[in-house]
Amino acid sequence: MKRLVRKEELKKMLAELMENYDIIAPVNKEELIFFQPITKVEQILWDYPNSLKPVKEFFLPPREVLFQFNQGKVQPADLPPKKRLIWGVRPCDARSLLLLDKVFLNENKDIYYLEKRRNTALIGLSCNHPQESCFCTSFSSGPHSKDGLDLLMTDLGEETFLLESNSPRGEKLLKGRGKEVDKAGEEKREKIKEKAERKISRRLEPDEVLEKLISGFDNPYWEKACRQCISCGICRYLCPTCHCFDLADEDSERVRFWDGCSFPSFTKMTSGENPKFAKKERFKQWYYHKFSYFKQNHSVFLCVGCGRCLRNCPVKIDFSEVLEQLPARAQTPPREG
Amino acid sequence: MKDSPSVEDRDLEPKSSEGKAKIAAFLCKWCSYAGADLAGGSRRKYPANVRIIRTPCSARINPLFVWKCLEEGLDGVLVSGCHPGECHYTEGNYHTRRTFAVFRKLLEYIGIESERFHMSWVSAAEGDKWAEVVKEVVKTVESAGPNKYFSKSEEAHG
Amino acid sequence: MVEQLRQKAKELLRNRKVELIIGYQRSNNNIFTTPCFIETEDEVSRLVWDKHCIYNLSSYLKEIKKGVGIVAKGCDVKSIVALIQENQIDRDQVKIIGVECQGQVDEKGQSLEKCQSCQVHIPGIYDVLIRSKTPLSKNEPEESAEEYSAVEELEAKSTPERWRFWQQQFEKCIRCYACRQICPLCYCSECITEKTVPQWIRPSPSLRGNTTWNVVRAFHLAGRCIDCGECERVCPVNIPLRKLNKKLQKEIMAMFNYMPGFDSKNKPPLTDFRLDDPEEFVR
Repeated sequence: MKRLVRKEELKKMLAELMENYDIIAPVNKEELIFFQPITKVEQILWDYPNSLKPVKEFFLPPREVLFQFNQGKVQPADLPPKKRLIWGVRPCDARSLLLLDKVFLNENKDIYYLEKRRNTALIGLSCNHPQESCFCTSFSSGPHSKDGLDLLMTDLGEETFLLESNSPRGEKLLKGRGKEVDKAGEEKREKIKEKAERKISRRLEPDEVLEKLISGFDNPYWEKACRQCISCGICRYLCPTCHCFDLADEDSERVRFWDGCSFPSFTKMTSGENPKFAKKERFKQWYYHKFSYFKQNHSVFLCVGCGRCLRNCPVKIDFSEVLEQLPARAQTPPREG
Repeated sequence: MKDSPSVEDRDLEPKSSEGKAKIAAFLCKWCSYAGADLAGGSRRKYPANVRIIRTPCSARINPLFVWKCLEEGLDGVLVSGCHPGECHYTEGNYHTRRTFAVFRKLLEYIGIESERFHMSWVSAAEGDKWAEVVKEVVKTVESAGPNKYFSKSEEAHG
Repeated sequence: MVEQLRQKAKELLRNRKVELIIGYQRSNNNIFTTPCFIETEDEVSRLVWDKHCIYNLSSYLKEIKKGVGIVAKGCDVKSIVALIQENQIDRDQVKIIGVECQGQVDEKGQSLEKCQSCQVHIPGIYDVLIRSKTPLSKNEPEESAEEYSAVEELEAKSTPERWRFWQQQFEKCIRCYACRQICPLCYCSECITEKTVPQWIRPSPSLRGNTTWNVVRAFHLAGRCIDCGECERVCPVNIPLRKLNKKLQKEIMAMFNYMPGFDSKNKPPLTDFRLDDPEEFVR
């Protein structure tokens, strides 16, 4: 279903939805853009590049209490009762949830993740002005993609949005709003979409990357490529598809919190053994997980091209550049045996 | 997401906590601990709010111990050692003095009430002084109210 | 200056004085820079120098301790001095290619706050000095009245206001440890956050854990932090870390008349003492 809706009506729609849903939307907090629960429609940003933290934080939170234990009794954490609605998600972030589903919703479903997914409606906002660091088009997606969304909004300018539903939930939300989309609206939308797609200059060829990675595992290239990296966790934490976590007991609660394979002690075991102590190994790991292992296990690359890693790296490591520079053929002799 | 008071909403106004203040005291074993022992032996009366932890020297006291006490919800911390020049290990308490001169500035800057951290020199012969120090410290800590800064129930992040 | 820099770098490599040079190279967008590592003479053309060279490259000396040349501004050299002072590197294993710096700008083109009270346009120590064609006059300790103004602003607030301020800041922390990893002086092979027996700092990003982490890191840097400002720059959630570290720098200067990063033969202040150290706070 497609409808043309005026911005004023969208604001009213939001105000209505607030009665039944916890609304989470992008807000500006001291020059940083965060998705946060809002109480007033005025708080929402109607146009913004992308949020600092990806939308995964609402499904796999930076810190989450799994259960409480006290004198032998275990009490699972309260699962959110009220429905949530995330407003203004970018298509790349929406797509990242489909990738995370492959990890958390396979045969063993993670109940915490599952409940949140079930309980949350996603209303996306098309990117009309992709950034220089964006490369979503390299992954069968695009700035106006509906994948993973219940509803997609596209700003047509002049206070008018074109809304498209992509699920029964989305259709229900859209029913009765605005008016029929006329030919002019459709054309305008197509124009905006094409312009946005053309603006994306950064490109990665994932299939070529996969081949290079497989042949280049022992390539001495990695020794040099990793030197700039400082082993912090920014790229891992801000990546919409990274999902590693650690567990700890704090004050009679079992908590789950973000962890990253870049940290020096990520693979440290109780025995003291740490197979990925060397920076080179930890640096490589990310590329291989995203572009080789995940593809081989789940038939899809673990990246949505949002560009957060490029924008936020403290030493400006360009992830696509690293892969670009990886030589196409192995330069070391084949391993013996 | 859990309902929890945000930082803006929490009530941080001081309230009196007469008689209920919980204070940890780190005492060096050669002087202050012996001084406290003497106070007990001489039947000096002083408030019972103080829990004593004995260390070989006041220099063993890592500022992190003080911080952890406050983080775990104790209302006040006292660090006590030998008078300068009388340290059993010659110079330990000089290091303690410098360390805590800096650390207390950090505590204050972070917003921990200055009434919560105290330091004293109490020698093995100063049982009377020990009793007086504890009385003053307890009174001062109580005037800052209970330490509510670190709530037991954690808010979920975000 | 760039030509001179490349020439000197070439010489150092040719004469085998160093095996590796760490410097700045132009980044993809042709404006900013990223750290670069060069090993051969023909690579020296990658080296650049301008007001976008913000990184403190001495942080890489935590890993690379021998046979290395490093392009360093006045502020960066202070952390090299601190590393030498704490026996983390040998003076003769590092060739410091000092560069005269007239100030750096951030990604928006704004002059960095630390540059406004800079006293080290010319680095304190160096093996080679690259001077600008229009040199500034000698290092004048500019009466930096503004140096501690941000700290003083916070000091003027009430205790509960300060607590609220810092709690709001620490609430944002995601424990990415970029501040620690980029800091040249955070070189512990096992950070206190990784210690589990006992666990001093809760590893999860709870407000309590975040507060403890930031307080502990600030204290571990007391008397050692030279205010390169990298921690604040790299923090993805904009926690004003310089405001925290500078407070301790101010107090240590006032109490012990000590400023880190100038003389590698000094004893770090918290490893030292004087018989007349202040003790007005002791009962």
